[in-house]
Amino acid sequence: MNWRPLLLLLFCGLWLQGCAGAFQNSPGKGTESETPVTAQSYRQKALDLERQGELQQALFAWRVVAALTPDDSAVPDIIKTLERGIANAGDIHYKKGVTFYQQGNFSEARREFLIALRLDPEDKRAVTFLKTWLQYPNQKIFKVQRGDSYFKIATEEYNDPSKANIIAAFNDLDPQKPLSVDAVLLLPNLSPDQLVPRKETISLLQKAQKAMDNRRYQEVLAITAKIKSGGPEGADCQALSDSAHFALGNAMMEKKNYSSALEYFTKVSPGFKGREMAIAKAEFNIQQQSTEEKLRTAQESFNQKEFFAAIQLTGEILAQDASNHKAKELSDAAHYALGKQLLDQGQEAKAIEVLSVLAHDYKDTAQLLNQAHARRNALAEEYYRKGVKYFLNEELEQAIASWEQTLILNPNHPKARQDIDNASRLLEKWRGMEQTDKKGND
Amino acid sequence: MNRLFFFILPLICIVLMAGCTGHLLPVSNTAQCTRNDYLAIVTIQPQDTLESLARTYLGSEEKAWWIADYNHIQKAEAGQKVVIPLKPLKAGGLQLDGYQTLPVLLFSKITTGAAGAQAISANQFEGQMQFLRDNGYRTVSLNMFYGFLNLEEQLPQKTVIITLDSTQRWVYETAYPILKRQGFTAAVFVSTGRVGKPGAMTWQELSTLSTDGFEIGAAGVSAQKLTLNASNSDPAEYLQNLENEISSSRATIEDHLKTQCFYFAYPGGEMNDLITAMVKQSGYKAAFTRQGGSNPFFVNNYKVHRIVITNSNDAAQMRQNLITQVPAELR
Repeated sequence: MNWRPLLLLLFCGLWLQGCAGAFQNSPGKGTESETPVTAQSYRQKALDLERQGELQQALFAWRVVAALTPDDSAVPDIIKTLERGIANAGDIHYKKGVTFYQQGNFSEARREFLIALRLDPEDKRAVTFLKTWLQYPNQKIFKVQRGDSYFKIATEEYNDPSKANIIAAFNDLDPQKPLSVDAVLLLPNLSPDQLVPRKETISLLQKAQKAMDNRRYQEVLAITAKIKSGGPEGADCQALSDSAHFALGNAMMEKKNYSSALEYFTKVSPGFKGREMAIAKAEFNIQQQSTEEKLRTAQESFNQKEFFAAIQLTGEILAQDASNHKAKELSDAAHYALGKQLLDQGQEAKAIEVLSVLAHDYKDTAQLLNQAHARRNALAEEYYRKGVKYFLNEELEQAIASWEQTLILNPNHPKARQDIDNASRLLEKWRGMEQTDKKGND
Repeated sequence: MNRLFFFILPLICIVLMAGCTGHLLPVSNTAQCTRNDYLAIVTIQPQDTLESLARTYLGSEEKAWWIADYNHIQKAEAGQKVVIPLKPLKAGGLQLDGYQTLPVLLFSKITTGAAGAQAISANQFEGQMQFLRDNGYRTVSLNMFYGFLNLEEQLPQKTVIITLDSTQRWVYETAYPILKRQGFTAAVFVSTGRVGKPGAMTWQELSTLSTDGFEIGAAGVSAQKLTLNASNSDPAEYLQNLENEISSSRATIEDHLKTQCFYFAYPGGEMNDLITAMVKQSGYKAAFTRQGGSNPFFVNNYKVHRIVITNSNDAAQMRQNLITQVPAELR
């Protein structure tokens, strides 16, 4: 039997069926315009889109190519060139739009801004024209100059200071932030019945001024706070508030309540005349008050023979002001008394440490120090001798401990260090021998 | 015969397997993703859907269409490689031949009884919603719309927003089931002072709507036009009332529904610069008028146009209202 034709037929049949299955189920199936996600097809897509003028879409397609072929160094350059081209083209249309706008041709201006945004959706300038200036072509505008505030503009334009925050909101601006010089504001159209100033704002300001004239500063602050809670407070309100805070700060200074004074001064707006000097004075006096308080406490501690506490407190004062004589005197007296006390208690080392802080000619400090050193050396010698006794009794560990005490009391002892070394070596040797004996016995 | 078994049969098997590869094995069974600031290239996994991909890569299932649209696909198929743009490619719906515009439909009364001048019947409403669905229109959230206005989002070409300016029960009892049935959501603007009153929705019902994807916006407290009292009462008192109508309605909604309220509808659609400024000042992101027309991205966020749907709207008028592309030479 000749199998060849049959097999060929079977082969072809299966091949076709297999292929059909594969095609039917191949991923990426979709509409005819679907682009396979390959660098080649996206490159072609990018070029087509560029030809059609769809530059943003083309740029995106190039970015897909870049992601698919990260090693292709040419693609980033193409992207950069295209980005520059888009930015330039967008800018040209934006400028055309501005020209049309200035000529009053708003429909053409809109078209140009739309093209600018189609090319570069990030162009905030075009957005501002489209969403603001072209929305209100006949709206009154206000160019901000140095010294202007929402409050001032509201007062001048509407004779209604309470409209300050309305101007800010209408322009999507934060009323708490100062206006930028040369900024252009759109002024909302407000009908006459919306322009009547809020009676309470005006009357409150008048009341605050009256209270200020009568030196009722707390009342001024209460009224200005009430005005502020209703929106941007305006220059008059702020000036009254500042003056009241400053006056209250000065009153507190007179009463030597410097902390309260500082609190009031810091609430005054920066730039208010005398503010910085007043703050500095209050801070200095607070410092002084704190020093005096510490000194008083230190003296009390000294009187109660709490010399260590007195030393600590005077130390804090001297750390901030080394020239404080009272603190220095008290510190010396406390050191002296504590040193003497320690010496009496037989704590020579501590006494030496405390007395060494003092000048040697302070009272009999030199004598006390000599006494302390002598006692310490004597004690050191005693320990040394004990060590020798231990050594002779072949109690090497105790001998070393004694000589170490000697060195603690007198680090310059002429023999102790050498003796410790010798004893240590000997001890080591003995231990080595003991080890050997032990092993031998085992 | 031996030749058949030893040479040809294996050959047939190989050919069979090759042919069936498409049936038996996915093209790629490993997770693959290339991602940068602009795009992600993803190989779809068996468990993926366009919605899940949108959630993962675009932060919201609402953007699934974005992947479908860019890749010209209807659904996610395992093994398929797709490009996901991470930023809008047609911000503001700007194209060479025009720009997108978004109709916001306003229904102020739907009745189960006979239709009136302003009120349309539930059947008419159902028919209109059916029309929208049959013609491929979609609704989006007000936050997506706000993103569109700020060139931060792109929307499906056939996008509409449905708004219902009423606190009355027909919203919950009549409009809500129809919208749900047709697969749409809507923004409901309520006057907070009326909630819970006889004939009005309760906070519980509003909460149900909110949970179901409907957005609850503010339309003041009293449902009075905000411009109404300007010449009739003491200006200081009027301004105080105005602040209250605008600010406290927002606070009340947020308090009851535990969700943020960023959108305002001017009661009766009437507004002026003062009211607009106060709405902005109160922290709303956008406000809706009753000025007719559709909305390109460059519409003033606080003067969003709405098309009032009344009983007199016929099919032709409806079609006219639903234009979503304005032709313009933007080359």
